Amino acid sequence: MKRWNKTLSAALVLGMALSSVPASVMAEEAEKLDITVAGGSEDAMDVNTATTSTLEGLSAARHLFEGLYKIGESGEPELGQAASAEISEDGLTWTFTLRDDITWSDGQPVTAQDFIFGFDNLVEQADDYSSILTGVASGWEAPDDATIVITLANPCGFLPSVLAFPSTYPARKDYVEQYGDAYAADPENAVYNGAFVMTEWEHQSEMVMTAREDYYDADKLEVGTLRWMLTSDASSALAAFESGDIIYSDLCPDEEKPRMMDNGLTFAPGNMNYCVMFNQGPDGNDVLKDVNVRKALSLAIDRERIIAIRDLNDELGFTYMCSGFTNADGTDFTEYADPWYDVNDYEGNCEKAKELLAEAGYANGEGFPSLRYIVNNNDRKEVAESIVNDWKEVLGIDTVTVETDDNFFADRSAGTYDIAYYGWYMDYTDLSNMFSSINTMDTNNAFYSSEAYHAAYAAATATPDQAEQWEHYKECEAILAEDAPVAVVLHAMSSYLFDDVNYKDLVYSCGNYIFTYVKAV
Amino acid sequence: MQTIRYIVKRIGLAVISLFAIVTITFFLMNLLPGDPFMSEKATAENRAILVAKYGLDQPVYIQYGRYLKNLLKGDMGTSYVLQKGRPVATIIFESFATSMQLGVRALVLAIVLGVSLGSIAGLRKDKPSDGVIRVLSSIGISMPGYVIASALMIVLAVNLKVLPVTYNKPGGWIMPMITLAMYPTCYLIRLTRASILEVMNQDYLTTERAKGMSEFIVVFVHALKNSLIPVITYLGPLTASILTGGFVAETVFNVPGLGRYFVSSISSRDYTVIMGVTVFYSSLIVMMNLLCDILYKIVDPRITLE
Repeated sequence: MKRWNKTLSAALVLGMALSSVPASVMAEEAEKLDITVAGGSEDAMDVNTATTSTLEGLSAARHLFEGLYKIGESGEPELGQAASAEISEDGLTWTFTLRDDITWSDGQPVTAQDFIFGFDNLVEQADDYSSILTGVASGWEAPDDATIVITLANPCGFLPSVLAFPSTYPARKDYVEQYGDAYAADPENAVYNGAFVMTEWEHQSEMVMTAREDYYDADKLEVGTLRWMLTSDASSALAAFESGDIIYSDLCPDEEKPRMMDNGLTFAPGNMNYCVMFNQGPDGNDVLKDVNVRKALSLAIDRERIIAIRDLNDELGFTYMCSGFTNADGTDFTEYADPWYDVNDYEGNCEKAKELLAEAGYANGEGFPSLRYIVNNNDRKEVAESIVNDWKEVLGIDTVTVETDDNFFADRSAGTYDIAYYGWYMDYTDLSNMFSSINTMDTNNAFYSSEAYHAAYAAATATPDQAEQWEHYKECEAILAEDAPVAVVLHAMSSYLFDDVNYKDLVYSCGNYIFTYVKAV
Repeated sequence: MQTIRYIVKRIGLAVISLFAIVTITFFLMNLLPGDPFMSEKATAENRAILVAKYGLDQPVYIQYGRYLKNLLKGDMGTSYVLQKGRPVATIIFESFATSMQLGVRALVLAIVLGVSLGSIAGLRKDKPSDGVIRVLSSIGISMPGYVIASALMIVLAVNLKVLPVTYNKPGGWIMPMITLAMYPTCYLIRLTRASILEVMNQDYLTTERAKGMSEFIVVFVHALKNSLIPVITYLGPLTASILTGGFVAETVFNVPGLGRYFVSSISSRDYTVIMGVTVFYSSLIVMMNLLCDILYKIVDPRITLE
């Protein structure tokens, strides 16, 4: 009897306690999701927008900070902290007016000066993306607290993509100056103006981001707590996904991908090209300065076999640009541009390659000098060895040696190599980003220079008209096909695990993953 | 007095050893190709700016002098890559606390299981229980850590769902503890067994038995105590290595410990972290060896420290 009394009392107390909680709060708490995702390892997790350069760090930063533009639910750039953008008639002056309801996580309003400081700080930090804005903008100023004026050297239709990129997000001067290199290295070392605030960061283990109630779009978002597991181990990420601990992982062991195909594995355009780069700079072997040699080496590559070796759903590389970009007619750019070679006639390509090599004076590979082909990991070494084997079988060249170079990036950018692996991962979904990679000497480690290419690229980026743009980019492709500074081998796909049975609206754009809009199914 | 003099001498030698380790590591590290600022999209100009910012463009001996000076002041610098901008001392302190928490559990498990099972096997030589323990310890000792970790994860986390995959969830420490303890447990079993067998054949035990001492006293008071000397020798470096974590257990189970840094700091050329973990780990090893020497003396007073 006593036990019944106790149970009854407990039930009454619980009932009273629950009835005292406002219904709205209960409903709100019930609506907000608490999700765990695996999105990169600790060493990739830099959320300082001025210095971060990995896909993992950039993805995390997109949740904590926000620029004039942001990647919206559609995966495309849309206005973020800016309420409006006005473009001058000549397209050279962009004037942004900030929203009047934007604040930092400490309650202070986000001002135009925060953006100007963010832009200046980006340049000063001299990290990987320090020139992303200076590449298109010649200056910026804040006439008042709510207005930002960006001046361009040339009209730039893809400025919204650049301004939606985390490197161009604002930063609070007081925090940056106080913490220096340790800015944003711990939750309390920064204030945030994005949809989330970082509340915990157990280094090497987990970051916890909590939705900001004072974010202007807070009511539209369902994720309340975002737990970001930090791991570099694909097997444990998969185990955590299969055991239901996490709803997303950017890692999945390659050998498990076939099994996971119908169990949450999604392939997305990788927005990257995988190439063989020929050094035409002063330290590269002179033989590679002969376009016939470069073309012969490119034509002799059995790309289908490499795709089969990798077994990662890659697409054949026959244009510099990767697939996934369509015009108003729905035509993919890779179909719009002319292919660099006949994709259906490998035998014919090999014959042509032999002729070109003979024209260059190396018939059957005789007299061909020794070349050093550098790569930076074993997977790429396997591909490189397959390519070198093609050159030997088809062209009789047996003087190319593949080397895994511990100092790969430094050697490639300094030009102290002959042939190298090269791949460009697009930073944002605009064709200009891919074509710019071989246009500027900063990233063009082939030391390739073509006035015609520069002109075609400049013309493409100067016009807002897509049809006109595509014509110029098509011309860029034709010039690259003719000059062969690189041999495009394939276009890799990205893949990730996502629990699409219980959740929806993950945004995946250029390898960046955004959980801001995730909802329960 | 002689013991104190010896300990002081040993501490002096330890300091010299540490100095040698720091010097050799610093120069070897600088011989490695590459730098902390290697990346796919880094331009040569930006890399040069960053290298200059951190003084890595100066001659190595100047960098070395500066490092030593800062180290003596207790400043290990900040991480360039792995936890960009965070002080190395903080990184080591935080991650060592986690590794130690896990390591102590693994160490206790290894010692309790290793010594007891090894003793059983030794005392019951050629009996079925000895056979079973020997076979199991041979399997355990020859299985790589990642196989143990993967097997545990697949069975206990994915299939049975009784334990979480990651360390920060309740019960998340159990699987990394087993992974970490597996090799030392099996090694201790074999070591204890061999040691017991050797001691049991000693003449003084026969004498004790002849004098009429009970088998219990012969085994547990005299034989076991003496057979622990080689075990103690192993416990020094084992404690240092297990407390600083294991690369496999920490990586697979996402343990935010120190073990991962031994490998990742080198592969990412995070110079300050490479030096920090080297200094810390070598200090720990030197200290543990010193403690072991003192323990010898306690276990067997006949041993002289000279």
